[in-house]
Formats: sequence, C-alpha cells, structure tokens
Amino acid sequence: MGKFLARRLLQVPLIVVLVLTIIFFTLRLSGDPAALYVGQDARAEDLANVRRMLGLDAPLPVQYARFLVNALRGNFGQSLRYNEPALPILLERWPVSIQLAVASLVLSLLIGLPVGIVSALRRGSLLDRVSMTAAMLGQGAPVFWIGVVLIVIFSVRLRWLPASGSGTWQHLVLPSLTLGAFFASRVARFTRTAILEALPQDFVRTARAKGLSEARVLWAHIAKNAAIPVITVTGLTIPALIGGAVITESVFSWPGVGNAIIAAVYNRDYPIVQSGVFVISLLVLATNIAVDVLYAALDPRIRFD
Amino acid sequence: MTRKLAFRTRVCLLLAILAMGIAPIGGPAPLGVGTGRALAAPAPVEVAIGLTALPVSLDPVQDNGLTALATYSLLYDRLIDIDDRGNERPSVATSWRAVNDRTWEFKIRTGVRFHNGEPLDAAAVKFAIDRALTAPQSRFRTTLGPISRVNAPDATTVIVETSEPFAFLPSRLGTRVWFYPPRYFQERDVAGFTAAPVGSGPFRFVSWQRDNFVLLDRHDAYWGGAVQIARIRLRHMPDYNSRLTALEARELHLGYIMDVDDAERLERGGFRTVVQPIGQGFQYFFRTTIASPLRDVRVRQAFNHAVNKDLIARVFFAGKTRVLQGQPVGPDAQGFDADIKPYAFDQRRARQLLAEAGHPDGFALPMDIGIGFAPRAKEVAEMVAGDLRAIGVRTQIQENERGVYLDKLVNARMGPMWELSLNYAPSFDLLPVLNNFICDTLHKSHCDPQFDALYRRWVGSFNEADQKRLGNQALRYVSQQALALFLWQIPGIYVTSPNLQGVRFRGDYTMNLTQATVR
Repeated sequence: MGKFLARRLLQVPLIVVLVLTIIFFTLRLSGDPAALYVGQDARAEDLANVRRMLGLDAPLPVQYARFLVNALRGNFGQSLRYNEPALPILLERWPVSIQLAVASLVLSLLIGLPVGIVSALRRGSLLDRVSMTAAMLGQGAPVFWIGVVLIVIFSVRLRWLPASGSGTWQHLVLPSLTLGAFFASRVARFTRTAILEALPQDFVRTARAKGLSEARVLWAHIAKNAAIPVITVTGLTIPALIGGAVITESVFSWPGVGNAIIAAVYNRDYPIVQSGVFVISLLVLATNIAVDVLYAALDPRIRFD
Repeated sequence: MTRKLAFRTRVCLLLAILAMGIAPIGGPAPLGVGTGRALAAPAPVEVAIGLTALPVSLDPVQDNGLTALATYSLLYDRLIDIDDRGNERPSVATSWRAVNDRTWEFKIRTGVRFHNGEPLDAAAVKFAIDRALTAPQSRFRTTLGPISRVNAPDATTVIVETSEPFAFLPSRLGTRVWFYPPRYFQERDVAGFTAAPVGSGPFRFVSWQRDNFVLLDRHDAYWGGAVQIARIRLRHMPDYNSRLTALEARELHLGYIMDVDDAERLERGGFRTVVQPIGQGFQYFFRTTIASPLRDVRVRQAFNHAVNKDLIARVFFAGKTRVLQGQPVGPDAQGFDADIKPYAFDQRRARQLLAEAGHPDGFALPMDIGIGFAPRAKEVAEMVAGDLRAIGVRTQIQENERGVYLDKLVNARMGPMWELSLNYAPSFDLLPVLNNFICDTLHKSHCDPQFDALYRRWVGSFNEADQKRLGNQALRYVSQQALALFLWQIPGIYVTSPNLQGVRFRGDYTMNLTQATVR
C-alpha cells in the first residue's frame, strides 16, 4: 500500500503540469485578453500598453515558462479582471461551493442508497420499476430543467424557498435538490446493480445458511461487497459537484467556483482559469487516491502491492 | 464481529462528516429579501435590485464598464451627471468653462461631505483624477483624454490642463471619475478602501461580497436631498433566467430584462415595465478598408434601404426602442441631427443601387455577429439576412463568442460587415461615435484623410458654434457615406415590482433612486 501511495503521489505533479499546460495553450488559442481591457475607442498604443502591462507582449514560450515557474511556487499571477492575486479570489468561493457539494452529496446518498437497495431486494416489483424509472428520469432530465421546475413550484408558486442567492439553509435547498437529483439517480442505479451482482454469490448463501438474519446478511455481507462500485461513483462525483456544478450555480445565482471559472473563461482571465483548473485537478487526483485507499480498506482481497 | 462493526462505524462516520458540511460555512449574511413569504423574518424596508453585473471592485477606478455605473452612481458622486434624456447636469461641479484651448476650469459645489465627514472639495477632486490617471489598477489611464496636469488652487476650483486642445474634456472626465475621501483612502490603501469604501452618493456602504451582492444604506445627509429608501441590495445576476425567476418569485423589486415578451408576461403579474433606450446604437459596421462590394457607397446605401428596421424593432422589441434615423446615435446624444433623412425601407431602390454599383445579381457576404452583446442579436441577424436576400445579397452569418469577437475587433480581423453596439454613454456626446470612423482605430473599418482632418478640427474646436457645425458635418458624412447599417438603440427594459415607485432610469444603465419609495 505504501509503495502504491508513493507511486500515485509521484504522478500528481506530472498530471497537474500536464493539465496546466493544456489549459495554458488552449486558452490562448481563442482570443486576446487585452481586447477586454481597452475601450471601444482605444488606439493601437493603448492596446500595446495593456499587453505590456499584462505581460502578453512576450513570446508564448516565454509566457509559458514564466507561468510554470510561478505556478510551481503557488503563484498564479494577478487576475486580469480583478487586479488581485488569482488563487485567493478563487479560494474565497470554495466555502459556498463545498457547502452545496456536501449538501447535494448527502442528499444523493440518502436517497440513492436506500432506493438502490430496496429496488435490488424487490427486483421486478412495482416499487423497483417506479424507482428505476424515476432514476432514469433523474439522470436524463437536464439539470437546468430540474432547477427551473423546482423554482417555479417552490419559489414562484408556493413562495416557500428562495429562487436564487446564498447565505441561509433555505437558499441551499433547491440547488442541492437539483444537483442531488442527478447524482441520487446515478447512486441508486449503481447500488441496485452492485447488490444484484452480490445477491447470488456463494458467500451470501453461506451467510444465510449460517442462520444470520436478513438484515445482517444485507449489511454485513451484501452491502460491504456492493460498496466498491458505489464508492467509485461517489468518488468521481465529488469533484464534479464542486467544480462542475456550473449550470446549477448559474440557474440559482450561486456564487461558487464553477460560476467563477466560467466567468473567467468568458473574460479570458487566464490566471483565474489556471488556478481553478489547478485546484480542481488536485481535487480529482486526491479523490481518486482516496477511493483507491478505501477499496483496500473495505475489501481485504484488494491489495495494491 | 469487530470488522462488521468497524464497517458500519465507518459508513456512519462518513455520513456524519458529510452532514456536517451542510451547516453554512462562511456564507454571506442572510438576505432580508428573497427568503420567501413563508420564511418571514420581519422584512426590513430593503429594495433588492438584480443587475447583470456588479463592479469587479468597489474602488471606482478599477471598473470602466457600463454595468459598473449602476453601483458606483449610488455610492459615489461625479463632476457631471446625465439626466434621463442624455443631457449634462451639474453634480459636484456647479459650472465649467474653457479658460483657453488647453485649460479647463471646474467650480466645485460647496458644503458637500463624504459619508465619513471629510469634505468633498477641490483637493478631493484632484486626488481622484490624479489617481484615475496614474494608479496601476486604474482602467481610466488612457480614456480620460490628454490630461497633463490637475491643480486645485482653492477649495472650490479645479484646473485641468491638457497637452493638446480637447473640447470634450468636461463630458469625458466629468462622467467617468467618481470621488472618495483622500485621507480615508490613504489611511487604508486600495485593499482597505475596497473592503469598506466611502463615497458621497445617496447611499453609503454596508457590506459586499464579490460577484454576489452589495448592501447599501440610505445616507441621511445626502447633499442632493432626502432619500426615501432605507436600504438597497444590489445583486450580481448575470444569468438572465435567474433574474427573471427571482422577479417572479418576488425576490427582486427591480431587474434588468432583455426580452419584451418576458416583460409583458411580468406586467400581467402586476409588475411595471419601463423602457429606457440606452446610449448604445446597435448597427452593422461596414469595413471600407478591405476588398468587398461594400467599398462602394451605393452598396452601403442599398443595404440601408433594404432592411426593414421598423418591422424588426416591432417584432423583437414590440416597438419599444428607437430606430436610428440614418445616423449612428439616437436623439439623446448631444449633436444628434433631426434633419438627417433616414434611409427609408425601399427594396426597389436598394436593388437599383446595387445594379448601378455593378451587382445586379447580388453577391455573397460574410457577416460577423457577437454572442452576448446585444439582445436578440442572432434573430436580428437572421431577419437582416432575410431582407438582404430579397435584394440578392447572400449573407453567411458568423457567430463569434465574446472573446473571439473582441479579438477580431481589436486586431482588425472582422469581415466586411460586423455587428457593433456603438456606445456613447455615459458622456452622450459624439466623440466616442465619430472616432470609430477615423483611420486610427483598432478595427480599421474606414479611412478617409479628409474625414480625419475634419474630425481633428472638430475635436480641437472650442468655439461652440464651430464645434456644433464641424460635428454636424462629420455626422452627415457618416450618414451620407452609409458607413454602417443603422438599426436602433439598445433598449434598457426594466421591470419593477408594484410596490416600488419613483425610480428614474438613465441611458447609461444607471438609475436615480433618490425619489423612489417602496411600500
């Protein structure tokens, strides 16, 4: 396990540099950020001044080298739009993003796990069919549509919950339901499949033959064996919930990381985009490593050495 | 058994950790408005306003965008205000005059104080102008004109010297520089000031969160008269649908809407709609500097005759905006010429002009449009293309994402016909319009040395009659040469809740809330 962890950790900087390199060059393919900083009636010298000020007058390889050296020191430069260091601007958005992600994750697990388990245990029943149809709809319906429907019902018609903004638990309900609906469906389907695969296994038959109660068979044997795919999907979900909740954040005016990165892409604010991608790629890598470690912790048959 | 327990414990622990994350962590203060009727904390009299964008900073030199003006105008004051008809009005400056062709004198209003009690005098005005010209964070270093020196010989006089004659200094400087207390600023520096800014406007700062909200309270000692509304919350809502649903959910008292159909739907729900044409003329520029049939003035005139502007404005904006009358600005611009004859919708005349120009069978032409700059830009482009098709011109619409569009604009890579929302707010004069037709522009759409000479004489003219005459000549040149397909002014469509009254909107996206009341 130690060797495995060391190997994975050694890959992290390489992957991060690769990701940053890709984002550095792709961003620069699509427009001149200086264009956003000069007025409509600017002159050529104004544009040249802005380019010089932003360090965009240097050749691209020089810009790239400067960027990498600074990034390795944790310095992603000044935001072109906000005139402040980029990373702190992004980090100030993390609390609200994590808040939304955690709420959605809890919701999706609280809904998805029991639904998946019950559907598997009652396979073919009406309950199973209804649950899986709902899960299919939850995964198939666009997130913005779910968001708008919830807003129309709970904010516009009933006026129970706010349609936008952040700051109170009420603000959290609709965005987390919107985001959670998609992931709950995914968790439910994965859980159901995993349990169905575990049910006919010998160890389940043996557990029952030992006279264990059905609850104990389920929790101690089936659930534990079915946990691995569920953990995998949950692990993959976490970064998507934090960095990829762009549509939900947009629909609910939720001031999170996803919105900030999209606005930065829109404004060609390279430092913000680069620091955002850096943080999210670290998160993805950390989650993947954590999931691998969890595999070993849950299933003694899995050994990475 | 131990292992079984350990597994369950781990699962429970994981869920508990996840659940702990739900507790609000570091979020902004709860909203007084927007929590819905049933949540009902006793609502303070707070007006919530949904804006397309808050400024990137509350330091007023750091954002030169039009969208920032709405916030700055509530917190700060400037030398000259613009009323809802686009006319200049004294604000902090009570009067201004040209001492000679390189010197301007502004007289500063007496008795005005910042929210912290510091006087807003000539020294404070000089401080703000100097900082706008020199601060590394300033976005106004190149946009205020050729200012060489600013002096404050006494508490009520500011002298501004320019390195060359520049007749438009008052409108340019007066509408762009906002004032803040010099001593307070110097004590705190940029970061400290931005965290707790102080101005002299009708509202004073309470709190803000970047790209989320700005909370302002009434300034009881406002020099411009008593303000009725106790508190306003400006919300950063770039997503159009989000603003719309927040209005429908009664979370906003006021919101900027882009679609007339939505505004009409909200009206049926008791909202009021106000349409204020913005100081932006929406048009398609013609590039006469590159090879295309549009180099011929007859083709450009044909395009202006071929497009049914009134119909398009009726279809997309329910006729609630002003169609441009054969010139790039609306009647709210100083220098607008009501005697210029607009290009009438006449496709027969258009075909005739095309034939005279040697294109009886028309031609193909690319047409660059930008995404997200003007309401209904894509649909409008399609209707314009349809009208042009009727005279034989086959346009290929090229949609450009914002960054790509701006990149093409500043690097002169637009095609022969390209969309531009030509902005003449907040100064509402012809300068930001006519300087798009000289040779030395970034987009390089037109170049005629004779026009340049006329332009230079106009900009350097201090005699009022001469300035008017030369400006009019330049405007007529643009009109007669049909240097653009003149369409309409961008409509500012605002929706207000029934209980908010007395708001006055201006053509630079700002709003006057001093006389507004809320029930």
